Amino acid sequence: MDPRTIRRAAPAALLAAALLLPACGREEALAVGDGGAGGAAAGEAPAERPAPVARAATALERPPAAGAIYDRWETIGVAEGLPARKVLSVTCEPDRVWACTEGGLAEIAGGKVVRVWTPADGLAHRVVTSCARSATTGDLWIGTFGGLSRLSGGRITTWRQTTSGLMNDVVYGVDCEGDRVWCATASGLSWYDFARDRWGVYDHNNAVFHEPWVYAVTVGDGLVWLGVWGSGVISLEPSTETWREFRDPDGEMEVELVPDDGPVHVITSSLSYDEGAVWQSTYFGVSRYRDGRWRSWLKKDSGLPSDFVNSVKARGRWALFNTDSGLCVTDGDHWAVYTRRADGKGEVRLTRPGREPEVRVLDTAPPHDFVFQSDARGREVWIATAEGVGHGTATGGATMVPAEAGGSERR
Amino acid sequence: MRSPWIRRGLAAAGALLLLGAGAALAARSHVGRFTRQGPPEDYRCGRCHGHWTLFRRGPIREGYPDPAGLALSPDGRTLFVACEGTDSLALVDVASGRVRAEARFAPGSLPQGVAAAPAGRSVFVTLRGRDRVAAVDAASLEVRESGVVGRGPSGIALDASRGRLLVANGESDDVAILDAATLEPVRRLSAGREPWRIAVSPDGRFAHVVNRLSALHAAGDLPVSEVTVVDLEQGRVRSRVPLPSSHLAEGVAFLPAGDRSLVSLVRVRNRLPITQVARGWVMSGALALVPADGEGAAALLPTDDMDRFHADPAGVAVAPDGSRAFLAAAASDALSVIDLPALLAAERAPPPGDGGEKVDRMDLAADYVAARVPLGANPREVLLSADGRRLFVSERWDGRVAVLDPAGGAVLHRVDLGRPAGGPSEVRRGDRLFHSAAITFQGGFACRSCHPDGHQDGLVYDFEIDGMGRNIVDNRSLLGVHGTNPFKWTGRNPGLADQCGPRFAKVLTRADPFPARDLADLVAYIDSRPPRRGNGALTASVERGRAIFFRTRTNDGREIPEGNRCSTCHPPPLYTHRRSADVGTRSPLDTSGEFDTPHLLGVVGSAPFLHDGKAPTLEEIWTLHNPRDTHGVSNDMSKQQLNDLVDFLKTL
Repeated sequence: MDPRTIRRAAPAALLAAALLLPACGREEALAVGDGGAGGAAAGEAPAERPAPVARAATALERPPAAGAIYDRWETIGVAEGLPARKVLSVTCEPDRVWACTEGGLAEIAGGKVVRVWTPADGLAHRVVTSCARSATTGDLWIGTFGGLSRLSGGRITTWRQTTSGLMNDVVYGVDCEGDRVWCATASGLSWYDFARDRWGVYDHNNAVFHEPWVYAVTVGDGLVWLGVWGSGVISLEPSTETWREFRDPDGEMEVELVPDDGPVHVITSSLSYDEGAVWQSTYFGVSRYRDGRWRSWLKKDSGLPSDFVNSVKARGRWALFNTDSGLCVTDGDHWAVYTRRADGKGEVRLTRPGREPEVRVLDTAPPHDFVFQSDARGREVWIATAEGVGHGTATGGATMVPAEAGGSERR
Repeated sequence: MRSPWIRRGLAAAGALLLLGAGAALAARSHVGRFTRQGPPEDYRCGRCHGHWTLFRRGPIREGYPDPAGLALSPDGRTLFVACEGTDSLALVDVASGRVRAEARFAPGSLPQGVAAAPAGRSVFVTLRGRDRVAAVDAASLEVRESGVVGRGPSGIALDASRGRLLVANGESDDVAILDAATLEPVRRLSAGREPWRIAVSPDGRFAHVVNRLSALHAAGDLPVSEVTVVDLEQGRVRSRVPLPSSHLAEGVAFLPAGDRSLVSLVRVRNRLPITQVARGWVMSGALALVPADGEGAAALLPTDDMDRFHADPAGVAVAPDGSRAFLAAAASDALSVIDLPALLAAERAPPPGDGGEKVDRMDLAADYVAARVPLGANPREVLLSADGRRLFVSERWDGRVAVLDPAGGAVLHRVDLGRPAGGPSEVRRGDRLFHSAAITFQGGFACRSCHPDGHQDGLVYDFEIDGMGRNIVDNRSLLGVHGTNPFKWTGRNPGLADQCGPRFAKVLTRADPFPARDLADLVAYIDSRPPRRGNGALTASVERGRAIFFRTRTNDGREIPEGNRCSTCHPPPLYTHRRSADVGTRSPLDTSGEFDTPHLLGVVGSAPFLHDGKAPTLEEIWTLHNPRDTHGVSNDMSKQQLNDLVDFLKTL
């Protein structure tokens, strides 16, 4: 296919897919951003120029270093109070989980839906893509298909492209650092300095973007990382407005001609940062940038179940890749893929170095194999799927890294 | 030519010529820098700088103390008084009633709120004019200042158990949490609009922040203010308790039980025609009982009498035994003494049978208002000693603090904070009139009731002179209006004397007009008020926005007709050409589409915008209400350009 054709057609297709296509099969999907949650941290002294990005230490417990094998699954769907079947992202906090659905924002606590926010409550739009908590104020910032909303003190305030400096009402992803909330939008990147009521925008006219569509934003390592359609991965040092673009050096859209030479593809669906690594998901494989080096994986040469990856969430050394064929948890060497079998049982397929691939059947299953996004805390994982929220728990002591490799797996 | 006098004369003429040419070039450059226009025809200094208010950054200082916040030392022996007018903190010996010392702040500090540490010697003062908090050593009078804590810090409270200060930033609409020891910022929480005063619950779990203005809302919606409830342990906003159809919440104090706070406010019904002034249906005073944890609704109860208002409710204090509450009526020069058990009984009583609300029943206050104590001019802040035996009330205009016996309500004595020699100037007399409800029907409101700090209350009103429901108009700021006449959105009033004269009495106050001398004083006071400050940012975005404001060509190079450039109707320095214009914003209920061009000084704090307030934000002026480029050419702008333009406007 002519790359230009892809470039022209894909955004509309992706947008339409998230809204219109049935939630099954190998469908194009919405790229959702990383909604990292922050914990308590000191605020920043007011300054005209933004201080270097310093992400607040999160209070969220990371998955075990040896990885967890989630052997028990439960579903929270419409019957349990979710406002819609399709869940576009989940964000874990120590005491609750936020489910961003096509019918509003749901708050899950104690395994139950305790509150749902919709446009009737002031939410910018019923389709909620992502959310992130500001460590500075404790407010929750919410990206929707109709603008940016803020949940503070139980009330919602909304900013739109017509009522504020927000670049575009279609907000794919949000993340917070200091006094700023960053918004990945369909027309570029917006930041809002809520302490000074000031907006900034970046797009292909004033930044290094090749196209305006920003699908993901994540803050980490003193930088703001962007997933821009057609521009691969871009980093921004906000205080100096220093940009760096990472594109696939081999320039091939269809194949990974030279492995590990850069991002696997220039069409980034999502990014996530944690512990010194930026993970990239694309519809053509996945990549990781760490210590100045790129490494990429495709289905054919890894445990990845599909090259069609909706999004990624980094937690500790582990990345959760959310694909059209299940949830894939990996550190780049060890791979676990969670899917739902036709008989309603679950299945985890383990691919580990030096061992034959192994399939384990689970009594319970994730709600659906089309996973939009996920998040993990401790020995739990939460996934946003086409059929509600899946909640996986590692009940046993099994780990992905075998004992002989430093883990403590028990069978 | 050999004569030295001739040579000297020629040399002097040459020097003068060179000097003049240099000055002319400098003037051209200066004007070009600030207008982005080519060589102007007229670049005399007076063209832009003929308005003296532009050179001032604060109000006229005549040496009046203008007492604001009050606090007591831990031992109760020293009263701390923030003196906004003299940029000082007065330390008053409570026993003798005399000022024993004074801490000075930098000029323009405008000290506003005060909080005293429960132990030690530190007194914390908000410096509203310089966006900082000062820690004053009560013994040495040494002043230590924080960095910028937000914009317009006013109220301050101490979260003693955590060693933190909470500061209400009235202009940046947030609450700064500072480390009390270092004055370093810890967090900034979003508040309502113009957060003003803060109280911490007795158990130290919550803080209630009262906000003066209602939230920005769509034209036609009722205004709703809020009490921002902060969870002090979490350092987060826990709840936002709505105060429906209310604004100007300026006082807050917790009940001794700690389960609720008492909030003073103005119940405003701005969508009703002003004909309802006589029935108290446009604005009236009220108290709200607000749950400490923010869970549940606030209960509102009226504080006015059937035939007399007690306007501009301000400071509140509650007796430690819960028997009484005290509420200052700033524009009525009085203090209302509330029988608190009776107030709570009224709150528990069933609602009126007519389906209305208790807060709208003007006969209800008689059940719980025990007394109205006359005080000096413009009483604002109320403070009760820890033992409940002394009540302090600031009398702002008089420059005094009244000391009362809370039991009987008698004024025991007054602390004189000093004043300049001689009688008050006309500006000072005008200040008194501006803040007094004596001129309005049954003392219903003062000029200040709609123009707090001389600014605006962010509401639209229906002046029925044009017919009820027609010509709804946004309330405009009175700050920086010198030289911007004519006035009113119709531009019908050629000067302030017309604006505030007999017609005003007929339309609004429903009482006798101001006598001629009073009118002159009032005009002098309003004329003296400088514009509200912009946000002061000097960024690349602002510079780009300045260029857009003064641009003469569209992005694709077409010339913008002179009449449709921003700078044509909003030329500096006032940013108004003082004429009317039709910018295509007429609504079906407007008689005309021509409106007076408002000045843009301090526009950042003047939302909502346009003549009928239909644009809650600056962006909406162009994104929603300028479809045919009749309000300047904006439809060719990129989002970044519009953001830049807005950034520039916010600095004016």
